[in-house]
Amino acid sequence: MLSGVILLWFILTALSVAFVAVDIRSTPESPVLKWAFVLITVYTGPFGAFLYVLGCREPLPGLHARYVESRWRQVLGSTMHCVAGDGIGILAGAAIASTLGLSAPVHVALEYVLGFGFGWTIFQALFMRNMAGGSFNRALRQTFVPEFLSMNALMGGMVSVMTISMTHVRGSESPQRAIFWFLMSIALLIGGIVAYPVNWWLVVHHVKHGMMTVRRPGTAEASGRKRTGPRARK
Amino acid sequence: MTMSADAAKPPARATALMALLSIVIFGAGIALSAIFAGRH
Repeated sequence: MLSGVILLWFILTALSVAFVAVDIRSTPESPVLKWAFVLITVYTGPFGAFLYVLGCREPLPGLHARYVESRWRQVLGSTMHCVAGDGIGILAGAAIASTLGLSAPVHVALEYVLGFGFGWTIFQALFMRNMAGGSFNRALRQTFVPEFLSMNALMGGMVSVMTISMTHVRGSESPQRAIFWFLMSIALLIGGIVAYPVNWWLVVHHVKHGMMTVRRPGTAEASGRKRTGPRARK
Repeated sequence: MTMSADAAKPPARATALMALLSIVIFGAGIALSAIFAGRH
């Protein structure tokens, strides 16, 4: 029964990733969020594709800026950015810790350090350094607090799901088995849900940016509205 | 994905409270793990 569900999950995930990876190329979103949505779909399968269609995909030509204007979509973009970046480090940490058979506290600590480190230095500071005037060091300082808040909530949500499920589901502690990655997907999904309200606060208080509209120069829609978001409308 | 410094930021106290809340959420996750995984 469970193996059938997992097989179906991975088939749906493969189809979802193929759809998002191809379709998002024509969506006028910032490159980092495009990568974030592809990664989110790798992590969460059909849920990621559903969130992409509902939250980011341009419904009609020229309408992306208005479409993503709504607060919940802005917050979705912020949350996706966090989960995508932190998720890489968390998954790497979980795989390493499980392979080495580390104890639960070390397991969680390794996931936190790698998740925070990758999300903060690469996905936040490096990829978004242009928002800090191009300085990586300044970007590191500006992104520490939002990354810290969002990461804590993400880990708070996912660590309980991950630890409890791995304790109770046989064979789920081995990265060589599909059930491990299935449970990590579910844990990241729950973590993202817990992190969403924190990201709401961050976006409302202008600590984090939400979804953006970035069009290629020269397109008809690009004239006049090259890059828009909540800040641009103020 | 962070806003530039020129945007209006929340007061430091509000940010500190949110940081505390996020730590509490993380702690709750750890506590839940310890309780339910420990029962196994």
